[in-house]
Amino acid sequence: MENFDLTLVDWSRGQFALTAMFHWIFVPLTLGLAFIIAIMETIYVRTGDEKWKTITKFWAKLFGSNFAIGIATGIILEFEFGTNWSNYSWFVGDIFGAPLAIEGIMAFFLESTFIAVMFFGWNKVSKRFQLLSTWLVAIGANLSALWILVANAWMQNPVGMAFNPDTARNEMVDFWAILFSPTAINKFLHTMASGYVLAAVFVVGISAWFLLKKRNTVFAKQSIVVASVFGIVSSVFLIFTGDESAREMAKVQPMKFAAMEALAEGRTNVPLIAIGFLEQQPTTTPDGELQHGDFAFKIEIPNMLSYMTFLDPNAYIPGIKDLVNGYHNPRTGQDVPSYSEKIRRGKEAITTLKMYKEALRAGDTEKKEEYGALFDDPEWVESTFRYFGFGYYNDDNLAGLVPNVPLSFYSFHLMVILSGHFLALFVVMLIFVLRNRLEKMRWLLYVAIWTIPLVYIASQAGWILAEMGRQPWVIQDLMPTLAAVSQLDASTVQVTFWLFAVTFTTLFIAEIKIMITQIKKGMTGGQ
Amino acid sequence: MYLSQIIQLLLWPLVILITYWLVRYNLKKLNKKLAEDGEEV
Repeated sequence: MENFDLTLVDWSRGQFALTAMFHWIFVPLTLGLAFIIAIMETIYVRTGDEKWKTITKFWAKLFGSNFAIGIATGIILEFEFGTNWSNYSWFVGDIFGAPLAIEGIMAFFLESTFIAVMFFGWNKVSKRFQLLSTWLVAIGANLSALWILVANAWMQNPVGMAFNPDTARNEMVDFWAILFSPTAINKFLHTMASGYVLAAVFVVGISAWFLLKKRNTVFAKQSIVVASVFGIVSSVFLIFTGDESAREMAKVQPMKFAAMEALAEGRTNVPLIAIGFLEQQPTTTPDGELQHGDFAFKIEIPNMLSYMTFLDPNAYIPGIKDLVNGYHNPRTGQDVPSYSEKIRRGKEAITTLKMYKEALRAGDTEKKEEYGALFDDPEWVESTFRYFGFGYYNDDNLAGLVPNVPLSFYSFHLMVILSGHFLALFVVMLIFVLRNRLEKMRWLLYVAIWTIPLVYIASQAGWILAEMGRQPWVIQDLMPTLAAVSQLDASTVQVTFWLFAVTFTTLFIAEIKIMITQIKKGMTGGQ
Repeated sequence: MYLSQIIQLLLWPLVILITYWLVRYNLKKLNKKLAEDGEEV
């Protein structure tokens, strides 16, 4: 711990978070809006109704500016793996690099090629080829996200790899295990669904503005139907995939799961906290004891968390203290070691690697084979090497191994509560648009418009939970975030942080202005 | 092997397909209502 420049770590994290959060302003809209546009264009091609061509082109213009900034910021993120997280890239680049490369070669080329036809192909290629291009852009954008999310899911649940002590790198041994890890599939589907919901809220909100202004009202109502239906189906899918994601998290990231529910102590019949306010973040006392802040206020649903997680209202779920101090799981019958024990085993793994390296350098074949055999021994790998990351810590500050509980708790609950609001909005908007009564319900139109910023907040909250809930790990239990940074001077990262902050803010303002200008021009380009 | 994950993945195109069917159905309803109310569709 004492060998790490924590100022550098914090600024590096801040810079990556800034870039990722800015990137994620644009990407989810692209993911969902692409399919909304594809559905609208399909209606145009099937019916031959020119009005649908107009609607399609209007939403495609808004899609275009988002797409460009989304890609630009995505490229910056990929560069930051090398510039700011070179130790991480060294340690797991052989695994993490593969999905990123596939994303670049397969999905990114697919969407980038056909986006030209999507925008500039009107009246130059056949209607059907134009439509095919739009669908391929939508599929390409989503496939692009698939590979990124597979890479991210691997950081949450590292599978399909083996450690090579000669290079001190982790290497991929099972590509399919990484691609089809339940964490990866759930993450992909849940993130896609959240993007669809975001895009649906965006289209509903902008269309509501047109109704308030009494402009392009028929176009707006038709757009609301498309987006509300897409929103309802996607919201149901979002709930289903969110539920699956949480169950998987309970298995592979129990600390994140306990943090997002602020579950201090493990028990059976665990209630679900519907709404709550926390007193404080867990701390460590001078004698090393973990202290947990309780709730100042909470409303809970009895037995619900146990039931939702294990389909058993009596199921045991470990809390933060149990995970830190070690516990016996009555559900599985397993004894889970304490963090102090994991730290001891992690240090043993690090020492073994050092001894192996020294034997290698000294040409001591006997010692090299002795230590090298351990890395090939599945029992030792499972009992000791899997806690490699814990070896970077000491057991005098165990609270440092607990993620930020209030942040995890609030981001999770905000995301869930807002998702309920979005689903309700879609249902109400669909009911009243089909009765042709929306224009008379101005309050509802205002709610729809003001839901646009809320959906962005919910989307960011999801990622805050995913990434902050995993801390202090960059790769769960294997590599601490502080060991992943490039050895730079903290001041250089501070400079680039502020440069990025200014650039992103400028780009954001420009993007909003472009959007507002396009929207004000109207769906028919000037009414 | 990985069957449940593959089945889960197939839900993705299903979401789009179901959306498309429901959009067509609801647009017919909307257009009918707009025509009844004398709005040009």
